[in-house]
Amino acid sequence: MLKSGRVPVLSPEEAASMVFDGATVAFGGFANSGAPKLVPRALAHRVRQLHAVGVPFKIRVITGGAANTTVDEPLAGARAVSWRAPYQNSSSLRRQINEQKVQYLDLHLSGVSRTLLSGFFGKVDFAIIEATDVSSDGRVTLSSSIGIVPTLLQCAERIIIEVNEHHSKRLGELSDIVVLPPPPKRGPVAISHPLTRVGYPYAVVDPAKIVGFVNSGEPEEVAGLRPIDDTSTRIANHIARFLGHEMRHGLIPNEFLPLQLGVGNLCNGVMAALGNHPEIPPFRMYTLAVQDAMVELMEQEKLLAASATGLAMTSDVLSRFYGNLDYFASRVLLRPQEISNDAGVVRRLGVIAINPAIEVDIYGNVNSSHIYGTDMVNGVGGSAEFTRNSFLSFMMCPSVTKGGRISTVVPMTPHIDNNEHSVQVVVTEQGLADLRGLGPMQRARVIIENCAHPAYREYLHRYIERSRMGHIRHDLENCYEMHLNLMDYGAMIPDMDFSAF
Amino acid sequence: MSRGNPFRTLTPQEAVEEVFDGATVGFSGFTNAGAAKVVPRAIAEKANRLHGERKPFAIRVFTGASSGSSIDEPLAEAHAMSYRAPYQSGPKLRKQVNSQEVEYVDMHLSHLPQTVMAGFQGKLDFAVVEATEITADGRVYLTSSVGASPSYLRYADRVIIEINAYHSRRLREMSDIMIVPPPPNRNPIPIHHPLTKVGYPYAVVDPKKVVGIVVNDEADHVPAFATSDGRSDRIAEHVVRFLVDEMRAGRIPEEFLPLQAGVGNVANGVMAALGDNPHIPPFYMYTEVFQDSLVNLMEEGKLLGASTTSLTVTSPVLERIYDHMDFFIPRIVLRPQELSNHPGAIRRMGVISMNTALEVDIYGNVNSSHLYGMDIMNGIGGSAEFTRNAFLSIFMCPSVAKGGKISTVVPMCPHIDNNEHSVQVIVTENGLADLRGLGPMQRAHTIIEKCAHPSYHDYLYRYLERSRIGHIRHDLRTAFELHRNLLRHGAMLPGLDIS
Repeated sequence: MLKSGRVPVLSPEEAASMVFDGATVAFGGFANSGAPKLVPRALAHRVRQLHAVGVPFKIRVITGGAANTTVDEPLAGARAVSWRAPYQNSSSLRRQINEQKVQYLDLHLSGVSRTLLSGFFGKVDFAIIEATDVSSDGRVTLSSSIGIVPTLLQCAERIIIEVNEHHSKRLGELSDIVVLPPPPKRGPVAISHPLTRVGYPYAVVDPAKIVGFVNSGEPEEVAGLRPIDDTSTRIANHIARFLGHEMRHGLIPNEFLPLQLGVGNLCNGVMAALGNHPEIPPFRMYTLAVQDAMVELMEQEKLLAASATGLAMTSDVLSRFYGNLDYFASRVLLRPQEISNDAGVVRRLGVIAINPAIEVDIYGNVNSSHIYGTDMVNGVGGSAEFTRNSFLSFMMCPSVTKGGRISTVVPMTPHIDNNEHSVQVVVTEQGLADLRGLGPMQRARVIIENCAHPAYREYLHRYIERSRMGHIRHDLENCYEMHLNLMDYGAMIPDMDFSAF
Repeated sequence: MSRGNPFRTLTPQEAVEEVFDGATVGFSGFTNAGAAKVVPRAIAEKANRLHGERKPFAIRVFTGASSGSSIDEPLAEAHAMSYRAPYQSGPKLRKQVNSQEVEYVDMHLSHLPQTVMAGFQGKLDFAVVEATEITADGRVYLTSSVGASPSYLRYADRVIIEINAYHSRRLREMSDIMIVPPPPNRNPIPIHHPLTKVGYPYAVVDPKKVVGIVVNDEADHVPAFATSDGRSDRIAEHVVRFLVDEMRAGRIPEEFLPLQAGVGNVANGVMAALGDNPHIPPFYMYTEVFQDSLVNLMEEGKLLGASTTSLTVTSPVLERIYDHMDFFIPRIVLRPQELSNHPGAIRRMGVISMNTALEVDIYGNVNSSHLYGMDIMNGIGGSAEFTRNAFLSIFMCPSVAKGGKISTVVPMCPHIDNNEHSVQVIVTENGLADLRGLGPMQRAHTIIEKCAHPSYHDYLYRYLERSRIGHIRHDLRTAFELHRNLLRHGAMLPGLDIS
């Protein structure tokens, strides 16, 4: 139990009652980790009650990254959200976004802190965060993610802190926290290695702004991962062989370069297979989140070090991690997302970025966020800042989904998050397309031949043949035929025989 | 030439003797500034001669950025190019790129040196670099642009130096040259102000690689931009008013932030208007090209200093700079494009980026490079690295082109160089759309209302109404109807009369 001094210890309901209709509320949380749990749930409950008696109540919600189970699901379930930024991955909220009931801003994650401090989003009325400890002079030891919390503690008007005893008391040893000053007079972020420390183990708050503590013992609710499948392994093998080849030819140094991997099932699977591949030497990571596969690779001393902004582990693995902090504390750093995804640092360290795509087009443009160019899945997240500034960028996806009804290689993507200028290598389980130094038509050929599923290659080649000549060949009548077929008939090429997949 | 200089003086024809069919050649030049001049012409002549003998000859060409009349046009005219990176802007070469005769890779400019270093581009057979001097121990003093020359000098197998007596030998006092070492063990680039210097006044070459020097005194072929017209002036007014308002609201500090401005008459108009406005304090620039309009601003004390990779100014203006080097040297830093466009430095200093668009879509995506999504205009250049890392990113274009036959605001861009995640403000002569904090549908309404030409409002609203609902509304059947009309009928809305 926390001794609070001046600050009252509140029940979740009391804390939630302070929040008013129309407020902008920023929650802690990144990769579904380190988000507050009790207050958002209590707030959702309160909103349901208000709505039941006809009282309007909606808030504008900001987080660091994903805060699915403890923030977005309860609040969206209560229809309590009017506006949301910068990233979400909740099924209820997604539906409301795609029905235009919630306004959603899908942002590059490293820019969120600066955007808040500059006042571009207006005033932040409340910050509701999770911590493991708060000192009377305002040093806040955060829990399993840093995200934008250090910035929120500076710029929010009122602060509610859930102090969660479930987390290890030692998380401060992993934390490296700094809030960058405003431009133009600022020096470089002096990180020259994934484990360089440039900050403090705690975030800082003016204690007068804390309106209440809420005691919590809630566990994290990171969703379980699917077992690693064949597609991830095949994609990882293509990447590992390619990186091995680059190393043997001196294009990547023998000491290797830091890796970044996206979050999710595919990424976790690729991480495991890549880490265990004989072509890959022991390596370091400069990435967003520490996932299950990374913990195992670290225990095997294959992964030497990792910088991230959140611990996105399932509960068993998180317990194992907390149980062995003597080992992990010297190998893992948790930074604010402004630093974990900083353009300058990613560029400087020469990060190899590996991110998932929803679909890619034959010229190397990537859709990471919108099905049909209209329906939001999650958001661009950190994928673009790593891809854009990396030494070598990979985009990966299975070549087909839905039993072959969807080809992830299409003539033109109806939404572009990462474009041909920044995407260097495309990988599916079929193979790998190295696009570096290739003009558009050469890119098209290697993407179709190496990455597209064989069943779709003929269609894609024919698309090019019937297209108008130009630097990039396109047929604006038919470039979305596959997407329209999918909408109308449930398959991109409706008369294809899908029993073969 | 300094005494004891070991390098052979060659005629242009002698210098290109060893340049072979299929060779990869890196030329100096970022725009026409500092571009190699007599050697590329000699290569074009060689190509013509060989083609006359029915022998094949085409080279792979790298430069810093565009270098139209000095390199691209003579080589394209001689059909002497098979491959081009990272940027071009010549009409003849453009035609060959669009007919698939030349393979063209349109790259982020700051990436180029890194990819050359890493060997991603294959072996560089020759570097042809313009300089004011090369010393016996291999120090090369560059001319009016730095671009990618330091990397070409280091990584090319053989080097030809054009010594150009036209340029001021004091350009070295503006130059700040370093090659960023390979990752991962590298430190931050300690630039924390546009005028911070972190390198040397010269680039370095292994003297053993130098084939010889070619002497000339030709001026840079920088064309004058059209003087700004009424529409550019109105765009400039909107931009300036917005920046003043942001400063008043405390979102831009009172000392202001460094500016980046793209190339062309819209950008020139904005710079002039910023200079004239009494509420905009004297400012610095962190930009890739230094253009004519900036010289006046600097002389007036409005522009305090500029970091750039090239002096893309017309000859009379360049001569004015050369005549007043005591004034300009402490105010201008010439850097390699890897640093002038470096994401870390841009982010750190909080640059305000101002670039021009070919077209924008109603959701804030920008096409900077491909008409109809197919025909290259020039390329992406530095626009994306500045936009992406800017504190505030602005895109500008007139609302219509070709007498109203083309609307630059469309339902969907058929090519996207800068996307909605990075584009914050769009400006046309009609108005300014501040997209920060807006979801897609709010962005669409703001862009249509503020930026689109009134004659196209109806069409764009109707597009939204008939579109499928989603986070972003689109109708994939008619998303490119305007572009198809333009291809087929020469106008986006064939019946429209906006006179």
